Amino acid sequence: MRMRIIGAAVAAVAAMAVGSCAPDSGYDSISDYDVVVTLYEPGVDFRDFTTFSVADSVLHLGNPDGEDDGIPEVIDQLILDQIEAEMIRAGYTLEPDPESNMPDVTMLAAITVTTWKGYTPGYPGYPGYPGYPWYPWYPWYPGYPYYPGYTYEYDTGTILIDMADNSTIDETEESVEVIWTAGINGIVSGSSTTNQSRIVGTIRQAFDQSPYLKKD
Amino acid sequence: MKRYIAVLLVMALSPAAALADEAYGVVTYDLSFPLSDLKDYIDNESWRGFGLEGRWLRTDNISIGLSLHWNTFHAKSSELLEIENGNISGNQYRVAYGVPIHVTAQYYLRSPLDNPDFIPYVGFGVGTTWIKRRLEVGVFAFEESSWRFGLAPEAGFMVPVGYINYLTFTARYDYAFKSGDEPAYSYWGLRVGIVATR
Repeated sequence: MRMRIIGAAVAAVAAMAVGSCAPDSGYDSISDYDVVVTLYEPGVDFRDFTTFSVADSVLHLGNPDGEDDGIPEVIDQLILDQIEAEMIRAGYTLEPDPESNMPDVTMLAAITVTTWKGYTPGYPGYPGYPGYPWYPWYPWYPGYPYYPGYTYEYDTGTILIDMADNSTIDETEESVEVIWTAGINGIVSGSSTTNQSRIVGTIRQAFDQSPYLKKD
Repeated sequence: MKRYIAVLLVMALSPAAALADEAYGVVTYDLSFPLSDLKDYIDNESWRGFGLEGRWLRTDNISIGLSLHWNTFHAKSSELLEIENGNISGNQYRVAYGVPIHVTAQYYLRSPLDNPDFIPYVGFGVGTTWIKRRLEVGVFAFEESSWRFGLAPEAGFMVPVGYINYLTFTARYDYAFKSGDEPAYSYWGLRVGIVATR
């Protein structure tokens, strides 16, 4: 009897120990893993800027020479269009002829896709054992089968958006000061429609979480 | 501090000073509630916790022992994170572990040797507490863990229940001092369990 109680106590402690681990997060949709980071240059008053332009192309960081990196061209135009729409929504005025009339700020965009590979090892099977007829708390245990390991691979996409202050252009150093940056990261879905929808939503989120950009 | 803990360990484990070989093994299920900075990080009670303790009666009313408890706090959050000169948005999963490993002492208002029907007691633990904090945002995870000096006062009672020996119910407060840039963590909880005597 005492052995049964001790055995039950040991089993209870083992169960509580396993149960005390943190559960899985429960996030099971690809869009659950979208992240938007925004940073601003301290001391800048965005009310000083009124006009803007958007770069005419998106820089592909993984293939700056323009070779095909698998990112559809439609994504590039979607990014540029959404940036323009959000800047207008924030109260800025699009400069129609930026080459003749330098706008206050220029929006730049870059994109890259990273492939992640991993391997989850399997485990060998474990044989079962017979029960003990005089201990009803220890029934027959069926064991568990061999479980093979598996490899996995997934892509994450990152979009970077910079707001450059054109009054700080240094033609000698070929530099310009960036006063606002947004970084968007998420898992690339197999559905192009889903990816495009999420790009629109996350670019909007980048502007929504930067209320200091808005003109009142 | 290490010297004091070593002295307490020697006292607790010294068989020569044990009283009538009276020793207790305690197993508890722990329910914990975060406080202060821990509550700011995870505003959720912990339903995942357990405790293991050993106590040795030194006098009719005093026991000294060792304890290990494990408490897991976790929560989801979608609130905007503020960072220096910016913000981060995304689904967050926050986890915190509190694992106090203490030398303990208990004072029983009624001596267990008298076999009363109800044994209230107060206790105090001192030692080290391992705190681990994990933040998952998107596909990124950030972890920080440290060992800190910890204290744990408690009050409770034991009720004899025949062959198991005792059921025990305890209210306990755990405090882990700050470590580096990480703030102090504290939580209180209720422990229910069994006490087996030798």
